[in-house]
Amino acid sequence: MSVIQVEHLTKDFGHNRGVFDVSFNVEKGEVYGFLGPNGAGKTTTIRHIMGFSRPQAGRTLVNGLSSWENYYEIQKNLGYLPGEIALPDSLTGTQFIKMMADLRKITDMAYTETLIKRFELEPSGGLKRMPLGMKRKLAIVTAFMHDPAVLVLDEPTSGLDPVMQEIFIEFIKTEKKRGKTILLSSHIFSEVDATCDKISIIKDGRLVSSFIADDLRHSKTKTFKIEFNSKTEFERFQSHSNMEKTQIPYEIASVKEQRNQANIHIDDKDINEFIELISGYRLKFFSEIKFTLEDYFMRFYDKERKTNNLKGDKIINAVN
Amino acid sequence: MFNKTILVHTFKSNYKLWLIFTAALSVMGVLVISTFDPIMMNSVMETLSGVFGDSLGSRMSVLTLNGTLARSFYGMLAVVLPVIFVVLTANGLIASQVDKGSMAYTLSTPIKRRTVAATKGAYLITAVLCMFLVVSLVGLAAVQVTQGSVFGDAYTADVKTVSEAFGWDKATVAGNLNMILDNPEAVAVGAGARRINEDVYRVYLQQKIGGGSSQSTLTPGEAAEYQQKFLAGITAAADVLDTDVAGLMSDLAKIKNNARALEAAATAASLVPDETLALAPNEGAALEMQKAAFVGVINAQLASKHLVLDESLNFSVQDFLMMNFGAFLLIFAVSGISFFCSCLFNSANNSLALGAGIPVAFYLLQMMSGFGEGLGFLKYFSLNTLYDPSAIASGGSFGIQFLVLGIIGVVLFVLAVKVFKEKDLPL
Repeated sequence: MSVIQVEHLTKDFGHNRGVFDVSFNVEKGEVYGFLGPNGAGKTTTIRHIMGFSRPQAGRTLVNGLSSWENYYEIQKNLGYLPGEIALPDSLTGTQFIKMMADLRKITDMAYTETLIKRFELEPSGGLKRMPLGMKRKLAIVTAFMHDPAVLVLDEPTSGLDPVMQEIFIEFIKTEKKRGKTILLSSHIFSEVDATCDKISIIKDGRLVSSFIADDLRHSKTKTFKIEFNSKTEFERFQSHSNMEKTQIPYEIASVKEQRNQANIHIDDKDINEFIELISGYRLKFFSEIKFTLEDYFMRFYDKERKTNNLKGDKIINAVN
Repeated sequence: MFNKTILVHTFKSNYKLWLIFTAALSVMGVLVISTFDPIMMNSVMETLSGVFGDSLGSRMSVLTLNGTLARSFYGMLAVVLPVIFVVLTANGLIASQVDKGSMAYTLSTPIKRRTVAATKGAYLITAVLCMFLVVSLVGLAAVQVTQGSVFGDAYTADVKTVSEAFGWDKATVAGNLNMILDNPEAVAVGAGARRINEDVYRVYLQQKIGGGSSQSTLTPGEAAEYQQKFLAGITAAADVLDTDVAGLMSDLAKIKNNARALEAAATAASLVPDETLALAPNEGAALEMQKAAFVGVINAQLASKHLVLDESLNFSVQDFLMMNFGAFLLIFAVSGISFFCSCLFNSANNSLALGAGIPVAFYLLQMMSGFGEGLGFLKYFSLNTLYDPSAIASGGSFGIQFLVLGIIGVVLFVLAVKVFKEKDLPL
């Protein structure tokens, strides 16, 4: 049984806002990345998982329990880090930690103390005047203080300085090793790339792609940039490509006429054939363009690139 | 159903507001009670009844301390201030926390929404209840200290002033008014405090000590004859002074201050029996006797009026507590409205707009319904109509109204918790 199940979740706020038929599962011990820009429906989905919102259609389950019906049961073993940090102004950090411990009926504060040390939290000041970074750290500590098996993190590193982001990503990796199940929503590619096993991309309330992160990292298709020594060589290459379109082992993605450059996609299995072919040309340089999560993500959000690129679909097909 | 941690934190972040409002309301109550002066009130009421006719002046209840409290405190301040407190507190308990998002932390723990709302609602109800408990106790203490009428009879203005001037104990003086009567200086001070002539004051004191009116020895027939003679005298005096009889009746001191009027009145009334008059050595002495007798009657009349005024110092603890209980029930019902709005709306602005707007509208509607006959129907649209402190002070009925207020409050709080349990939260 999956730890977090989202089944055909639909919530229509009108004006094409909300989430529509969203489904994905997070298995035990998995870090699941939920990628999308602001307003795409990440937080709405998480609200349903937390039991704050009632689904219009579909349902969300945590450990097999319905989020809406059994929200208070679910919370016993779930840590939630809200996307927006809105702490009660009237308290100090220490009072807030104490309150959360009391609400969760935690008596042994040893683990909380280690978290405070790990994130270099100074909780003594009033929350009203606390810097945003410190507030985020406070929210992180209170989300993890009961050492829950399931973590739901809504944009966890926004507002943290780069050093603290690094510490947080390390922490997520450690938690993963300890067998925690983590759902991480984000629009920051680096943190998703660094931590996640599986990734879903959400756009305008709909999942546009779900895939295994390693498939993207070790894609069987690579992109190379080639610059030819002269215009003649470049044109020879182009005419060759056009003539033998069905036989060539590569595919031209784009060209830059003025600089005699071409970007090409090559399947790993065709690489030797291609090397042989290209050795017949005089080149200035030849380099691989690393294909990143960002590139992949941007395909769904950048219409121009979407039209002249087919490789992304290949990856989706590979996962499905 | 309730959670101790939430209650403690709700208390910590709200008690200051409670303290401010409770202190302010208590101070207002003490001011109204300590400045209560039936003699002054009486002259105000006489002026008012002159302007508006008898309908207002004849309401005896307004003269008493209970009546004054009902009108100027429980009819206004004790409703307005707690309503502001309730509106602010209710909004902060739920809606503003949902709006800001801090509710997310409370709800990301294994605590049911129902428990959160019920605990916060319980705080609001308890805060309002405690506010009126404090105001009641402070009020009773103030009545006892400044008017002395919670336990035993009230201290009259003259007793208070004389006691202070001579350093006597108020209770002792009130128990033995001869202390004043036997001391000319004390009489002067006491008469000043009551704003009456020393002669009248002496008569008043004697009447008070005697425990009744000086005319009690007369038979009904004699009294009627006496009354008629007195009226004849007043009529004569009114002729001389060129005023109407009724006006003069309410201001008898005028006759005493005008020698010609007094002479005419004394002659016309001729209160002194013939056999006594025969003892007079001459006409002038006889007239003096007539005048003295007439002045005596006037003094007795003025004095007994003050005896009646003393009655208005009597304070009903039961009515006072009922007024407080009724005010609590009204505010309980109003807090139900505000709390319901706080639970219903996700935006603090909407919660505040309706949670404050409805109670304010109720208050205004009730106020406008008193402006004229044509607007009287407006009272049926206001919750505040169900709490009528003046009715309590003047012995009217209020049981059903109280019951309705209580039911409205309970229903609204139950609905509020249910709404909060069922709604989508933008956290």
